[in-house]
Amino acid sequence: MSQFFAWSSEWLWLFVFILPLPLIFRKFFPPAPPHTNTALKVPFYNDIAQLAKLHKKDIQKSSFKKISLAWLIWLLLVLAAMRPQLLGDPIQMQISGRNLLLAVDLSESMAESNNRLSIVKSVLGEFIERRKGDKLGLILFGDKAYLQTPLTFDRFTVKTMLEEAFIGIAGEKTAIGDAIGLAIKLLRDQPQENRVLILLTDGSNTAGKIQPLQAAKLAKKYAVSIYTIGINSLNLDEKTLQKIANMTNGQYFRAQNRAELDRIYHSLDKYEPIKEKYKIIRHKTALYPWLLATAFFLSILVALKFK
Amino acid sequence: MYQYLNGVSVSLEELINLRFQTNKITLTHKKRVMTTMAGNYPSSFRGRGLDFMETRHYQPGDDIRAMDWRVTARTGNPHIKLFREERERPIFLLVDYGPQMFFGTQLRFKSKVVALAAAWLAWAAADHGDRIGALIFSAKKTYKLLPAGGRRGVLRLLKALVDNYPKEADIQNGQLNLSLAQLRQLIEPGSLVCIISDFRGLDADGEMHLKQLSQYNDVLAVLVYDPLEKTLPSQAGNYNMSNGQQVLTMNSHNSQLSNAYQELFEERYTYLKNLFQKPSQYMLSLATNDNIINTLRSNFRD
Repeated sequence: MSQFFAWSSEWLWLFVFILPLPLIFRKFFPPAPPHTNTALKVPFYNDIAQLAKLHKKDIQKSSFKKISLAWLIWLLLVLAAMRPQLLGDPIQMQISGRNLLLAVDLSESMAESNNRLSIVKSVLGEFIERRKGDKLGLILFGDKAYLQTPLTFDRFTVKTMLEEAFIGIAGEKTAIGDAIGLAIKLLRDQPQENRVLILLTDGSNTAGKIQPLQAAKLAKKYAVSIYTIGINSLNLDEKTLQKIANMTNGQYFRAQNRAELDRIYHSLDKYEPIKEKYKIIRHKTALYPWLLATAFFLSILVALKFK
Repeated sequence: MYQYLNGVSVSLEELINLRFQTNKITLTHKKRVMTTMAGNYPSSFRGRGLDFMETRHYQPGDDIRAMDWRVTARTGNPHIKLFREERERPIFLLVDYGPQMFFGTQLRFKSKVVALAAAWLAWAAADHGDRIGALIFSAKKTYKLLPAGGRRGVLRLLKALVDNYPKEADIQNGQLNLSLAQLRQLIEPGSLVCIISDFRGLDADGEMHLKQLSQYNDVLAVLVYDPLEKTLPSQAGNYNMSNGQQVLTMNSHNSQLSNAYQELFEERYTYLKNLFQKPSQYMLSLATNDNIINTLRSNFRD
């Protein structure tokens, strides 16, 4: 792997304009003149006069050292501000431009019948692995909806976050409306054609500030397509989920067991295909921390030595 | 306390008040207490005295001329007689009132310390019934006082201390060397000489006089100094010092400089310490911010 060094081009001007700043400052704001007008008349002046002559040279030398050190620190700071970076090999990256939010119900009932949550985790985990090129985000909801990971290309983190989730982390109830609301809030800043929410639940809306249908209306307004997945249970509110999906150009699925759930996610792959589009990026390694660290240690040195 | 109210000038009243602060001490410094008894320094006896004190066992190193033959014969063990020096011992104060003493950065001026120390020593001597003489000198003149005993002798000295008190500071030193020469002519052998000064301006001539003086007299040197002479102020910063025409900026930030500054004083201090090393000599130092009475008292035998 070949790496090469580069400056961030948009910060190059710093070098020209910021570097001489101390000189300009000194020109316009000269240091206060030493108080030569007040002095203590001491009877033993002659003794200490000889002392000052002996040490005059040393004083100058140390101040020269001090100033050059100060300049070195300043130079390091300016260089750090210019963002030096190591660029890695170009890497092709799939980009679909799609923004996919996954909302997972973590209410009490998900623990029932052979632990639905663990099934959801494994199936959804595989689904996440497949969605290369999508920006993924994870919402967990219970009493309220919480954003677990914002939209990111980092599928690994999203999967980890999902696996770390447990029942009750967000409360006992089911706030479907809130989950949709939060998703809309996040997606409305993204490009219009690529706003997708996959909502997975096993109950009906029992908490939250917004009713699911009301939220769905908003989703329609912001062009967010919602795919709803209902997991078979006693109080599953299929009607609402169906309605939500219909209103927002989505689809409603009902899962009985693991195999079915798996199939649903595969069909989701069909509805929202993984696009074959590539973008070339380079891995950047920022080098400024080294410069800043050096500057920091030098300033400690200055503080200690020229106390 | 009363004498802290004014650190610059001196009044007769406060010098007289020192009378009750001597605590009846003996003007023999603590270091020397046992040396005369153990006989390690026979030379510290002036004329070996006439007052018989006691007879004790002979110790190696004792002067065999003082053997107590009678007791030795009676007991079979060698015994030796001990004498005490004469009780009456005139005290001469050499008071440095030079213009360089009219200076101080903390609590008092050096000249004030000199006056207080001189008065206190005079009162302590008077308690013992010693006669007190003095030589007060500044840059221009000297003032002589022949030894006189009792309260009258002390009061006479105190008045002289107040009357001759320096009035302005200068970088000029008092004429210490000349005064030492004068004192040699004035003094009665076997006296105690107290030199209260900062010893600035002491030259080879003065050293010679000092040596001569301490041959026949006890010498007590009181070094008076100001904390600023010793170290630069501990708070970091630039300190301007002047002699009236030139200004020097001392940066106490600079550890090298402040070390050299301190060394300058320490050098002088060890030089003086070496100068007053003989058993018949003793040096103590008083800083202007010391508790003067306590420091003096702690240096002498009760």
